[in-house]
Amino acid sequence: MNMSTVGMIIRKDFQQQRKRLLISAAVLILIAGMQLIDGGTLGVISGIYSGFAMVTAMGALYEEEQGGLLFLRTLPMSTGSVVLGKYLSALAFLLFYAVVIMMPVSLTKQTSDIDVIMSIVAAFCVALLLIGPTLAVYFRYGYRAIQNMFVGTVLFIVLSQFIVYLLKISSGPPPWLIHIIEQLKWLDNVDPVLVSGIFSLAALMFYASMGCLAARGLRKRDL
Amino acid sequence: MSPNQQAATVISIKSLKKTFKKFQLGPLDLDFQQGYVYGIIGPNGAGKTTLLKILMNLTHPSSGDVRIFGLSYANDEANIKRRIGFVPEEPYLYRLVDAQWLGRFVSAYYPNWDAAVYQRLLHELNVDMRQPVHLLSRGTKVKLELAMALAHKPDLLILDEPTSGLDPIVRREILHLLSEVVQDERRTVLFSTHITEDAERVADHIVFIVDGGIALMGEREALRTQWRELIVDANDVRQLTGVIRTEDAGQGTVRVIVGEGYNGQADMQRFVINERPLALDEILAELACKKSEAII
Repeated sequence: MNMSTVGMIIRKDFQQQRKRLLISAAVLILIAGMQLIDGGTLGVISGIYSGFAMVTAMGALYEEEQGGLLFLRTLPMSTGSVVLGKYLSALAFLLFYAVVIMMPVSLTKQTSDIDVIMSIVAAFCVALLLIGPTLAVYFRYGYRAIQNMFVGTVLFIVLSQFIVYLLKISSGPPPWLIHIIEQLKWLDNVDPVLVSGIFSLAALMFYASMGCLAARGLRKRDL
Repeated sequence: MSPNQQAATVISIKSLKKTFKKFQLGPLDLDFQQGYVYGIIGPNGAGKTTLLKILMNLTHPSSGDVRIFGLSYANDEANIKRRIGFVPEEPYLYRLVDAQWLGRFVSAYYPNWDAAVYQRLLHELNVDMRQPVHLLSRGTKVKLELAMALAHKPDLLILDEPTSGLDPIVRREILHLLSEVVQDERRTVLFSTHITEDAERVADHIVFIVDGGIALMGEREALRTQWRELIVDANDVRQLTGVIRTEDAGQGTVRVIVGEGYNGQADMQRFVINERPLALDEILAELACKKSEAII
């Protein structure tokens, strides 16, 4: 597998998505900044982060759907290289958003706040868990197949944020949720860095395995 | 290619089959030799695009074997595609970028990429380097794709309906470029078309595909010699070989369509009152008719 050809795909995706990336980065900084100044939790930021990452990844795939995948498949590289390029592109987008979101965090001097960092790591992992299978479905079945999946994911994110908001303004979480939280109390004693590290590693491994599945899918797909 | 040169097999297809719900391509057994121009002719939906997509590994055969330059896609995809220039039926380029960006991007994948050739071709074909792809006309997109396909000096050029849907001026330009391209005797060209005049103009060999099968394959000149419309005396029809179809032409004469098996030698000529070679579209019509009669 020639890594320079894979690198060209990542560079191309950044070039083609640059407007979308810049606009969404600006919006992300604005929202995250307002949340942090307001002393709010990073739950909303995490949701928005995942949402933006999904939108950008889907945007890249939309470009592909215009004929780009066929174009890439006519070039002298294997299906594995095409898939690797796309998975690394999406990962690079996520890292880009992570860096962007860290800017207001560092400006508000909250980099020492472990909860803030953990929220970003958790959002990064959730985005990996969402994008990995989405790309795999796309490479096997095409853009149309993931449109419903994408809409469902966005709805899920919006709905979960709405529920969090409702819980916040109501008298508190329902008893069943309190029970679950109590059952997970033992996690308080575990080093949060270790937990986030293990979770990140697991998410990355899942993402990589989805990449392998996607390569297999593309190898079978007729364009 | 001169007759004393031994042509190498560039593409070897063995028992190739591709099955869809309502259509089957093949089984096909075909060899394409180096240095020739093959025109693949067939009606819409005959399987031309499927065949070319299989040759580009964009569609996967249900069974059979395809070898290009003696290599298979399972092990040598990049090595094979590095030596192929491809122009698909539908424009497939990124919409928001221009020819300059595309040239830069694609050049990274081809060690033989010649930026000067690319620039020259775009200039000759009047393709604006700075115009985004989505603002180009269909004809200009095809020209751009052709320039991209040729700039890395491929050994094999695969063109899927390059002149389809183009106005006569652009069509003429593209055919002119193709006639120049095929002067390189080491290069093999496969192009599919349903415009038979295009094949007539540039192809050395013609492959007729009808309903997913090879109905006929041969040298263009040999086809002209064999496939003819003859006017003969009604009593002499039985003396002819390779008769495809006959119909009454009045005054005791018969119009006879002859094809494979007709040798056109002097012993045959003595029966012929009048004759003319069939054009490729007439041969295609005869083959399609023959196929549908066989199905009935």
